[in-house]
Amino acid sequence: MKEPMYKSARDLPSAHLLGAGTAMCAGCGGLEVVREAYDVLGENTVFVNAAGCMTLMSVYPFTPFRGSWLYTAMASAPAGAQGVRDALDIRRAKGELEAGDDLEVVVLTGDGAGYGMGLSATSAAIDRGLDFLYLCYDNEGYGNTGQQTSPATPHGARTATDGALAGVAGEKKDLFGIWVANRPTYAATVVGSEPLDLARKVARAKSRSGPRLILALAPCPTGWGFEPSETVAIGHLAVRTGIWPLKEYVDGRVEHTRRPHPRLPVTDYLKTQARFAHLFEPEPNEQVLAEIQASVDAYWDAVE
Amino acid sequence: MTAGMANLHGNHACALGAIAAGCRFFAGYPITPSSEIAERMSRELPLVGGTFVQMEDEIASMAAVLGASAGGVKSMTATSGPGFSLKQENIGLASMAEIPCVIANVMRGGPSTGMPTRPAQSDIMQARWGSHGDHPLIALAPASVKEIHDQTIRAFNLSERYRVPVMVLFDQVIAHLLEPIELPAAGSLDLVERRWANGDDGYQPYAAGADGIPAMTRPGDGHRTHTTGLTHAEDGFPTQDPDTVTRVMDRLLGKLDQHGQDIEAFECHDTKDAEVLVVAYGISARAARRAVRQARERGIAAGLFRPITLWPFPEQALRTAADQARSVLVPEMNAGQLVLEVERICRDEVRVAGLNRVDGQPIEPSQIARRIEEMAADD
Repeated sequence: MKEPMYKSARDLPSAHLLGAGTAMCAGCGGLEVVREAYDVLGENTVFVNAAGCMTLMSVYPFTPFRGSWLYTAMASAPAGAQGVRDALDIRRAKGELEAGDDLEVVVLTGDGAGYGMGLSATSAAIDRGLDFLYLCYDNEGYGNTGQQTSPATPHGARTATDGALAGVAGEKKDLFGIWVANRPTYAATVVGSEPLDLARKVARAKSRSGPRLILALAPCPTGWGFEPSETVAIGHLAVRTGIWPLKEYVDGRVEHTRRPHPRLPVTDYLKTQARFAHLFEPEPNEQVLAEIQASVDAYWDAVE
Repeated sequence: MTAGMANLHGNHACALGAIAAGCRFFAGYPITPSSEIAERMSRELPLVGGTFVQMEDEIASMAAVLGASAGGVKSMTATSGPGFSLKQENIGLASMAEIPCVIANVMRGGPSTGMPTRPAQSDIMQARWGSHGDHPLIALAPASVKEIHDQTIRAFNLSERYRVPVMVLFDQVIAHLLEPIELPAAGSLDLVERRWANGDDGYQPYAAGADGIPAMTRPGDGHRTHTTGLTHAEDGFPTQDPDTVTRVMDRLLGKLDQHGQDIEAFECHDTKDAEVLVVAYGISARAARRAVRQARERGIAAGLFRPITLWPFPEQALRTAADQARSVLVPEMNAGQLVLEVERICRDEVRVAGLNRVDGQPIEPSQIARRIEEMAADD
């Protein structure tokens, strides 16, 4: 399929496919990503959605989607997508689907399923070369159940199950790296606050077949603790501090689509969110703050 | 938490009961409406030298609980319907390998995702038969915040004593209900500790004495442990010899039978002369209690039998309670599950009927009262 060109923000779709008024929280960074991606994916998309926040988007008789949507158990969305893809292919071969009904099967999950519980199903779907696009909105915790720690929760963040003084001891899992190691057709990181970068990447993913990942940072007002109006600003800071690198894996190479220069200190990002407040009050936790900065510095040192 | 009066949610009472019972390991996964049990455990366990671990999924949570228990530490997990489904294979392993463990299941509307924030009592049969094959287990159904606390403690005691998985089944209403309860002082509880093998050379891990319960061993105590889900003989190694399998399975499946008096807990209210008997458990039993009281005020000989132990079902106790009954009403927040067991147990001439709600709302006392009056009029 030919890839549409998005040279500037003026080229972005002006009409939005995703309906307004969903049951998502105000300022949801995941919803922002789904809305932007859906405009590029088109209304022929079939979503296969594992348990998570986005399963609450359709509340009968209202749905923000123009097309189909299927729920699967939390660990199984890529397996559900396998069935949908195969069934569509069978019906297409039998002539039951018009050539124009080019249905794109898109797995939609949060980080709980994407980084954790569903990873085995994802790995197997990539092994089988399944023709699907995986859209993961990463809000760095189990947002739907009250922001417990997930494998995507960053070092130092406080969650409902990690209330220790220093926050989460572990490191955020590198899901992009895991996908790249499996050599998919395409993989990219995006954030809703960079809609042009996002649209280009979703279009590039859509123009290819096989396993493809769009991994989106999804700032979460309720889970991270910030005002809903700050979602876009926090997305910008995630990129400009280098915490959320925007990159893509295409034709066997990882390229960064944005190199923040100069990089802002990570504290500019961390101090905007209540989940990191314990790192600043009552007094700064210099050790953890330094660890986070060092980790970001080491990443970009390796890139540059 | 210190001893004394406290206002607690059911989920927090479950966590504190577990700590009081000696639970020092919790593995879980977030799921509504049970997540507060995990969250509370994540705060409480480190204070008593225990470990909280959030696992990658429900299957892994159950496996970690079995690992910790086999390793010698009292262990539990908590979940709700969909997670309970995923745990079932490992629950069967717990029954088969006789690994003590406690599973709290905060029931919500189902099937599938159902209604995560609404109550139900629809996992009663899954609790009993969710795992494949015949297998021993115990399921308890507390009806108040206080009882969640106490039955969680009891769940650990039963599990450690009889080496079976014990489920604590309650629903979203009691899980999130705030009630005052008195927390016991440390050291004031009768806690059961697992019987450990004494280090004899001739140790047979699944050879039991008269009580049917083998002593357990753990890594580091001198015995080499071998714990399998395969059908095994007394020596713990797999067997398919029909005579041996019959012998060991008879013991496994029968080991709870001789301890019914200790395991089967229940409450009777006005059952002695009850012509209309209500059999209700959990939150529905609280509505039933009021309905029965109202019926008595109107001159109807109504009574309430409240099983606290659902599995094994207190069969003889129900027979006694239903002795004078002409009709039995079983209100449940499901399409009719425990009613099947009640029907099986009651005399043929007793009319057994269900009163069911599957709309995510608790059954109201007035609904039960109305049915009691109808049944009394029909008799």
